[in-house]
Amino acid sequence: MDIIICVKAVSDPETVAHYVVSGVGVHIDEQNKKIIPEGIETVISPFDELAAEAALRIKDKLGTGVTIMAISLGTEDGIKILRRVLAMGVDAAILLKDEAFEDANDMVTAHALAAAIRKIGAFDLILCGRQAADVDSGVIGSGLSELLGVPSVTLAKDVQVQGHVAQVERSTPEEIEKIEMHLPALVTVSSELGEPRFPKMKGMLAAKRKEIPVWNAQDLGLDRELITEQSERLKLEKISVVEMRGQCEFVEGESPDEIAAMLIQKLQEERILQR
Amino acid sequence: MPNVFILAERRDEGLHPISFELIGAGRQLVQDQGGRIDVALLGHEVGSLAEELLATGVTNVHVVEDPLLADYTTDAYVSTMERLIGLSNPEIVLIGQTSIGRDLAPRLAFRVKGAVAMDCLDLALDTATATLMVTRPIYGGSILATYRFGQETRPQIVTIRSKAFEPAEPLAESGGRITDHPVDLDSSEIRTKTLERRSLVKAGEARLEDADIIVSGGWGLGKKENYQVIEDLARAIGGVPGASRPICDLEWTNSSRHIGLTGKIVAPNLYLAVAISGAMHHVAGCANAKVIVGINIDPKAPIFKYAKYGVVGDFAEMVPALIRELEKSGA
Repeated sequence: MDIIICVKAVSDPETVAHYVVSGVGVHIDEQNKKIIPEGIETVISPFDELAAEAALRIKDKLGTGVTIMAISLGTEDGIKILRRVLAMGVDAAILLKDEAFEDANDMVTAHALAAAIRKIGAFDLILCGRQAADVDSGVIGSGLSELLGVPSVTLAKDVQVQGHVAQVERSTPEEIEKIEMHLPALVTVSSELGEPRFPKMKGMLAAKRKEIPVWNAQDLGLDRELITEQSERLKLEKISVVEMRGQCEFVEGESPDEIAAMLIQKLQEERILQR
Repeated sequence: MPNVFILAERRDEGLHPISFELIGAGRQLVQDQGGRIDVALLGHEVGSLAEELLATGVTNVHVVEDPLLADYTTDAYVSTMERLIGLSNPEIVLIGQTSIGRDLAPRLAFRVKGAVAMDCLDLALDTATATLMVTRPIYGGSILATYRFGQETRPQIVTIRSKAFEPAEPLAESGGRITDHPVDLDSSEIRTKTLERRSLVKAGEARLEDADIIVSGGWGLGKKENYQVIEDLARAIGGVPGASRPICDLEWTNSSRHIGLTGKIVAPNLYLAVAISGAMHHVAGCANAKVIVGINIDPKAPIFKYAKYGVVGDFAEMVPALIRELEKSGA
């Protein structure tokens, strides 16, 4: 059984948020419409790490005969996160890198990943995170499944494979849905899947020795014109840091009851709470 | 002169409020430009809801009814929307950023060869070219990004965040037309099979999205048993209990209670964040609250950057104190 996972390297959004909130600030490169990543580590997008975990759980269950291949599109930072998933237990990895892919929008990314997957050949299951933790769009998974002509289920909390069928538990704020579909298929995973495994030392050493081929647009047989045309469809114009809200009034007192009474009084004065 | 196409959504036996927010956004785009607003209503035996949509003054309501559309499936809804869009040829398609929208919109965009921008908070139209600029959050909400669609990109598909736009009210007079479309679907086209559906929303429990007061708990509660204090305070204050994502993932409470970027977007008068640090993706869910109160043992917790009132203290002491004082004040 062949599983492919798509993983993205992102500037750690937790650090970005921390800098914004704490007032340290995040510097914006206005011209290139990027955040300047000083002091911000590059990490694997958390939902993609869970996609790796989902793949590995299937492999744990089905045993031999399952191969997991990871693909990442982007810069050299991709190598670092590909090594991480290799260390977790993924079998092979490929980096897609090209000037034409720099700051690729969702459309370009989906086309590039589809081309890479066609080049790799047959697959049974593709796993992606539900959304990349930097752009938060949640487009790639579904877009990729449409380009490849396979069915998909998004927001999975559990993925099982039995023969030629995938059984997925889809988790939304409203319901849990058990869905079945024939392979080949694509699933995007959500945080409800649980915790990703931590790579062991043995895995990390083995990962370091693995060769990671780098494919460019030409290797993928991707037309420059296609890339340009897809890039034009949705272009990033501007980014700006969110303004932090005003001052917080801290309610203090001699005892919890006193603080509670004061807080309630303030809320009643504002008519947020009834008297 | 943009023509706008909207997917209405249903909730229980009626229409999902986001349907009216989308119409509100559509109205803003069309304004006095003279464009059409078409609304699609998909389902089984849902025709009675069409009048409610028409009353907001939209141009057309396209109703497609079939048992195969009773519940959402990717293939049935994408194919049906593809067909309706082919008939209508809109410049712009508006869909809600809901569990359905998140699944449908990206695939639809690739199917009809347009482009899609997800979870948009604001829209601006270049009227000369009928091209959209959208603003949406990135990095969990720390940063706002503005994107422009290509001038030749059609349709421009956008999902809109819950409560980002004011809902359209019914008009005193509305023209418009309801058109019934025969369904053109074979069950063999639907490649996913739903084996089981389990609703997470308890019958009779008030919806977080509609609540005036929410008491929300986070990881600082320490353990599953402690979530009880959130339920107790919610009851005492007349509110609905909510939660941050980590504790839902840990199953300390139902994930229907999850408030955040990947959960529910709420807009209560009062949001009490108890033992919640205030991570961006959580705040994305509660930022619309009129008043946020943070209760946290850590004075540096980010929640205090968003809260109007803050209490630095141990929830284990503060929550019981609040319950006592609420009972005293007869609130």
